[in-house]
Amino acid sequence: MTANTGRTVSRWTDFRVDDSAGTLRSIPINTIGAVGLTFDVVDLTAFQDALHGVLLNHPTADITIGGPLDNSAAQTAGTLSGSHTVLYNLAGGNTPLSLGIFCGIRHAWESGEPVFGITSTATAGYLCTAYTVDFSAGTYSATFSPIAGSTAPAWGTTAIT
Amino acid sequence: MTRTVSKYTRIWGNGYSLCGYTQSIGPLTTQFDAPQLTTLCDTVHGVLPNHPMISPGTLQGVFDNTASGLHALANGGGSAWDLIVSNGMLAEPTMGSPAFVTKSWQSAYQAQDSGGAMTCTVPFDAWDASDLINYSTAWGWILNNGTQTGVNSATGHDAPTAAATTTGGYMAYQLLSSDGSVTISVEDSANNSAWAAVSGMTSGVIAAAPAAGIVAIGTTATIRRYTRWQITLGTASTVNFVLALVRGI
Repeated sequence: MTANTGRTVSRWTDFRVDDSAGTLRSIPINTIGAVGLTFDVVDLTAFQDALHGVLLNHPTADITIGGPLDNSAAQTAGTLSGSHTVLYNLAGGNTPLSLGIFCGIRHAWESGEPVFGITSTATAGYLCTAYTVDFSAGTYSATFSPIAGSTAPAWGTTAIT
Repeated sequence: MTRTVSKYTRIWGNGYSLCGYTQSIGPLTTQFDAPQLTTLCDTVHGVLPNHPMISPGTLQGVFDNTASGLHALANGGGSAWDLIVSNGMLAEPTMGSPAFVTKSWQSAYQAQDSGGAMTCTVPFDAWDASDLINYSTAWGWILNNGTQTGVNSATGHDAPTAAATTTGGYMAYQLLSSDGSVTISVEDSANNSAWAAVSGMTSGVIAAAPAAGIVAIGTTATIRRYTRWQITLGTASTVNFVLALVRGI
């Protein structure tokens, strides 16, 4: 199949993150916070200006996900691994993780379609800053933030690995 | 008096038409700081206006990766946009339709699931501090929305005050497509028949589309009662553009 263009729905979104061994895995999600860069806005208005003026400073790129708690065995990315299987020992680590939100356009993601995230290096990638479980609801939530000094995650069209 | 609905809202940014990807935009804001100056002996709280914050608000759109679509144009965030937002009165915006003009920083690009639909949020903040104008208003009128193939010899837009203004102003242009170079400008007239260029209100030669910009003149300049778009075709024979005029207040 070839890449599509146009609109899509969330059923074609795939969330992938490295497990503790550095292998990219797809995990089930049913909520995801805003995906993209959000820039700090700095007001630099002077008294003598006619109106407020701003400039942009650093962006944030935090990702928050939630989904069903699942301890299925790990699978190759593209096939779902258990959420708990992948996430349970990531929080608090200092090894940068690859992370990608693959947005398929009316079908499973193909190269050429939008993907947001970063392929990790020794100094760039995401850290898992929180992993919480709600047994009563059978759900989990997790938060990821770029490691200090990381290059910025970005939108692209080639696979995060 | 004419009312209208949102299906006639059009948004142009950096030389692109964005309405095909936009579900909503706003609120279109001119919000003045209003510091309290109430004293003990006053009978009521009182304020004075200080600086305004002008912003087109937040664009909510569909997540669409069509070439030159919203995702392609906005996914990086952190860009300054020349924007015109206009609402036609039960029709496509045309000469005289209200226009909200800004040069605003796009402070984020956020994709999300919205009840199953993949959508995106594009928030805009205040005016670009590196390119401030000397005006505190963003509301004007459309002078042209569409394709032109020659000079303008038609009548123009009548100022709401039915008189000239002496408070300057600025023009905003969005060149959406062109088969060559063109210059876009504003002309004025006292009687809607004898026309002359408004001094300084010209884009200069634009080599190609897409292009956009804001050109301001002095805050005490006179703009006569009637105004209209004008073009000087360079190598172009057909140009599709939007032009808005904001009179100073």
